[in-house]
Amino acid sequence: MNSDLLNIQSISKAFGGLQAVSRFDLQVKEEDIIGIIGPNGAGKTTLFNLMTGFIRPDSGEVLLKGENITRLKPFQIVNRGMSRTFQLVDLFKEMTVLENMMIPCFSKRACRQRQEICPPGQKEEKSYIAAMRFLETVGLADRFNEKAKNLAFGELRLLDIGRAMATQPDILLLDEPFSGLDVADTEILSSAIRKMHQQGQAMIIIEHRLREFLKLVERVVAIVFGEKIAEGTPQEIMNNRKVIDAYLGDTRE
Amino acid sequence: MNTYQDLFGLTIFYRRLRGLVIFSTIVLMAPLVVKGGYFMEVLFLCNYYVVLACSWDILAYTGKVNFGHSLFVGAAGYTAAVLNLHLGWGPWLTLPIGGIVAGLFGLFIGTVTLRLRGPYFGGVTFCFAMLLYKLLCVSPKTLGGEEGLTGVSPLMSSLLGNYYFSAIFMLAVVFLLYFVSRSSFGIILRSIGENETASEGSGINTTFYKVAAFTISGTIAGVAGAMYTHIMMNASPAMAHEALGSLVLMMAVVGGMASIIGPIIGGYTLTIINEAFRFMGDLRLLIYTGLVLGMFLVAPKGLYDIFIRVFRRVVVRT
Amino acid sequence: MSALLSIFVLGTIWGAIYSLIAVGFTLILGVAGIVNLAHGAFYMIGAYLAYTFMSILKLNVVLSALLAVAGVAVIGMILDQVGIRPFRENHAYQVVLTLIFGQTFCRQVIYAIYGAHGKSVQNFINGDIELAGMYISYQKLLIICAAIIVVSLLWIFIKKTKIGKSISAVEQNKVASILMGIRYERVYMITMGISAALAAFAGVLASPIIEAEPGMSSFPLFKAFAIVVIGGLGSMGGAIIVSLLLAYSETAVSYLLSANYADMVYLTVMILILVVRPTGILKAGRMN
Repeated sequence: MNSDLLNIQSISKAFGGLQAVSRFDLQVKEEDIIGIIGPNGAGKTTLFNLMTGFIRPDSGEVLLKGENITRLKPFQIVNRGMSRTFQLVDLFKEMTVLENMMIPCFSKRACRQRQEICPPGQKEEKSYIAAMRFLETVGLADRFNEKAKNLAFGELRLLDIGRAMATQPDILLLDEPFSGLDVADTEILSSAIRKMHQQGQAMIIIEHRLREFLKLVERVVAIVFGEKIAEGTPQEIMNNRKVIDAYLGDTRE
Repeated sequence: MNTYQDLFGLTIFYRRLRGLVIFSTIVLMAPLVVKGGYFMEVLFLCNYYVVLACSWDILAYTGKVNFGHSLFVGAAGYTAAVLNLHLGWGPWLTLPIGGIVAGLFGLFIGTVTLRLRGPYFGGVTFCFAMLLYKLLCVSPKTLGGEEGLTGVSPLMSSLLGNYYFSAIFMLAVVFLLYFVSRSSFGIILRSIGENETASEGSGINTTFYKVAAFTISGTIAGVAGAMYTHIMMNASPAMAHEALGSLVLMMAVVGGMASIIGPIIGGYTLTIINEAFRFMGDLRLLIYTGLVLGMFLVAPKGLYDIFIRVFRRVVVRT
Repeated sequence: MSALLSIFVLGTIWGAIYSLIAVGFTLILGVAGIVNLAHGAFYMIGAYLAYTFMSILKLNVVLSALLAVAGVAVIGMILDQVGIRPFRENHAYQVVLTLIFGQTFCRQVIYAIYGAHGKSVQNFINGDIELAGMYISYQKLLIICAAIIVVSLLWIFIKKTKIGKSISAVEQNKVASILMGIRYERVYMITMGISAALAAFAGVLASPIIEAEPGMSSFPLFKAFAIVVIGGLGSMGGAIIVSLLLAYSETAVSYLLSANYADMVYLTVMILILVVRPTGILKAGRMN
């Protein structure tokens, strides 16, 4: 139990009469890369919202490195090491790419990770350097002075993921990162995720387009109607009766 | 690759500063060109309103629209008057203390209201301002009741002195706004205004920054209010009336919300129009507000935005 | 005893009037999500139109009321399409525009046309009824009954008619309602019309018992706001209950202390609520 990076214990959430998430459990260890699959409306994004403090669960707890983060606010959870992206890309459209990347670099956690106390004068300069470095990682360094709204969709995705990485989280949550990407961008994203995994980044990825995704992850969790119906290696999940029934042919993509 | 120096360093810093320096020179030289007590007073009012509009604008960076700005002016103005009349303290003490009092109001109100999402904030600040106004109207002798307090000692010994005090104060505020907007604090404020959820998701404590911005906004407005009290030599409930807050808001919005130049443009333009329209008599305010309404519909981002767009088109052409 | 009864009657009247204003305000807030700062202006224009039609043009009561309400409804819909629609994504701009329009521009128009002196309207009905040793005018009873009827009609409208259900649907989930084929722009416009009509009707009902003056748009606006905050954003039932409670408190305070202090009641309560328990007395539910 103690070596768990993230421990989700039996969280549930109901909206009105609808049970969105039902007694969900999950343990994630360091350097794990886990996938979450499930039909639309199964509660996957709600799960992320519950984990990251945007919604409060009705019951159950979320423990990050042993600390109970269930009732914390989103920014506090980010500063404790868990960052996420959103299904609909959530950026600062009117600000430049560089400014977009600098915001997470201004967070307390990012400053701490750079091992400095961030005095007022230096903060901008150090954040700038860090931000440019992250932009290079996602390949957007040359677009740094453009307004975010001028980027192509695939680039916005990469920027979003780069921003989540900029807080140097212990665990990164990606919500349907591949949705809407064309073949070329999918390949770029896959290799970026693979590289992050090689560098030891723990990740949980929600995805819908199964083929590329199942090649990346080590463990898969399947959710239907807010309940976990199966957990195992990609191979096991593909052959799991319950999963096949729930998807009704989606796995044949 | 561009270095930090290219983007944030000294060279570009000085380039953008050029415009502000030119503006400062004009403002400081104005008394040489403009003669006459009436015009001096108008220019003083312009400076006063620019300070109020700039201080209002600091919070506007975060996307929160404050309808109770008059509360800061009233609170600090009365503090200054009371300190001056009862303790005999001069402006060099009452102005900072007035500012601090207003800042504390901002801290308290901000903490209570800015943690809430949604459309609450504007209406609530208005209600606070109204509450102060009503309290001042029914206040006991010490605070003067509906007529307020009179006999406050003047700020400077001459009209010219008053003007320069207000001008230097205004320029100080403008430069402060300029530095803030380029700092991490300013960029974070802008990010909150752009997309508060994303900002929170990036690990920023948005409530803290909003409250900080509101407190600073209040402190500056407070000092301005105290200054006004000394120059007018009285403090009355009218200072805290919601109409002042609405007026300041209109100036910042017409000029261009969440920019530095916007409140300056708005402050000067609207004050001058207000004075210039005096010859119209009773219809003055009607035309004035109609004009403001029209300007807002046509240019919601403000005159500054229009100016930039025109400028870009002209510059790009040549 | 008669003081108590008189407070009760006056409180009920104002409770009725506040309810109309607050329900209208919460309607547009719940459906379109905007804080419509011109709401107070609708009330004011309603009262002034009632004055114009009844005292100047000498039309009969019912016709004047209908014209006043319809007129303001049209103004509201125009405001929605011209002033608010361009700013659908930007709440800050909507708020600023409705503020400038309602609190400054409308006020100046009224001032220019009617001047600053208070305008009064005659009673709609004359005569009293005796109740427990007191005389209560039919006028006052009329106000109460009219308010109850209108709110009930509104409730039926929302629940039973097609348009009403569209409004409800858009309020709950804009995206889903688009998928269902509801044209939400039309819904917004109609809702604004209804909201304005409610405020105007409140103004019409109030016109015989108050003196209309150009500054009168402030208090209904911010009382409505406070009522909605206290009662729970978007809850019609909460708005009505809080309106009544507020009216009773104000009348009592006014009787015991003075009118100035009465005006502070809603401000203080709202501030307390925000400090102590921000989500409102009743749970912020959907329209009941």
